[in-house]
Amino acid sequence: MAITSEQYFYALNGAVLKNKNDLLEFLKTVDSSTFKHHVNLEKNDFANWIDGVLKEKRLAKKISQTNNPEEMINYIGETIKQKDQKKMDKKSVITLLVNSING
Amino acid sequence: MDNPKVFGIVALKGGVGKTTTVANLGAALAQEFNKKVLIVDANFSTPHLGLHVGLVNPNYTLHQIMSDKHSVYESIYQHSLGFHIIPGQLAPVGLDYNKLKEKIEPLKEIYDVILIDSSPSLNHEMAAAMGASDEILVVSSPDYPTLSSTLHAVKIAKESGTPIRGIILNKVHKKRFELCSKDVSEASNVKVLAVIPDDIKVLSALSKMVPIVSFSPSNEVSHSYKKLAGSLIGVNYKRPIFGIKRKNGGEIETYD
Repeated sequence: MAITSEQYFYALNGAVLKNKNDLLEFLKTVDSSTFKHHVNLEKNDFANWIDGVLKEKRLAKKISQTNNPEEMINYIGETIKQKDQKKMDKKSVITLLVNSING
Repeated sequence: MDNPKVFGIVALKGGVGKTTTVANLGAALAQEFNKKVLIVDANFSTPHLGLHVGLVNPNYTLHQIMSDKHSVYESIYQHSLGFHIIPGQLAPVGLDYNKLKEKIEPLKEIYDVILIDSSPSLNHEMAAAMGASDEILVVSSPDYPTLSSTLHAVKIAKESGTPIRGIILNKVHKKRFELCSKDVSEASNVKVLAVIPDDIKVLSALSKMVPIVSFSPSNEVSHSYKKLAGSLIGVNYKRPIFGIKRKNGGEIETYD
């Protein structure tokens, strides 16, 4: 879904996140102090952004329940993978199956 | 017999209707086309062909033929629907599966068509069925998991050197989300010989241990099997305007 610049996630370290892929890459390299600024006992900015802006309630709930960046990466990665799979059309699946059998 | 044929009916996945296909092709070839037909249960590990045609716990089986305990002729049962059957045995024993071809081959003197039901697993049993056949029919259904298994089966069949006659696309609901025959034939490079619809009547027939071509002759599934049976022997099946209906494979009554 398209979002406006006001809805982007502006991280403490200057990173600007526009979607889940950006967040995934950000979490892979984020420093500890930036992460703790956004995820602490009082708040979870990532969960709030996913819920309020990206409108992905299920993922937001999972993210809100952890303060571990590795787990967040896994959750986000999973949903991206699922979305990619849903996007595959019949022809792509058949081609993959043919290739997997014929090497 | 003039040009007798042994067809191996294979699928690398259970539940696609392989045994149902064997039973119905056997019944259709015998009843509709007056052919001398033998159906053979070479699914050694899980033999259920007998249960599709009302033969439960037979005394003589293919297992005993393969073990040289009985001659092949002793284990042939005549079914009231006109075809003959060599059943399997529910308790499996260790066998030399390579003997299957030498046991089946002499029977081509007697029968027009021999149909071999095979194991749904990639093992020596399937290899034996393929090796004993003149041509292979691959049974599939219109979904991705079965297509994957079908592609694998086609590959194995091609490697076996036995020609593939075609694919039987079974359990078709004609829904958009399903794979169509074009999808399957293009992916496998094998012609789809028949599209058999799915129908609850197939299960109803199975509960009576009667092939649906006899249990419900006017059903679309029955017509599809008869058409396929005809194509296997090069005869055009003409769908009757008025059919006959058999009850439980016995009494015949007309219907309109």
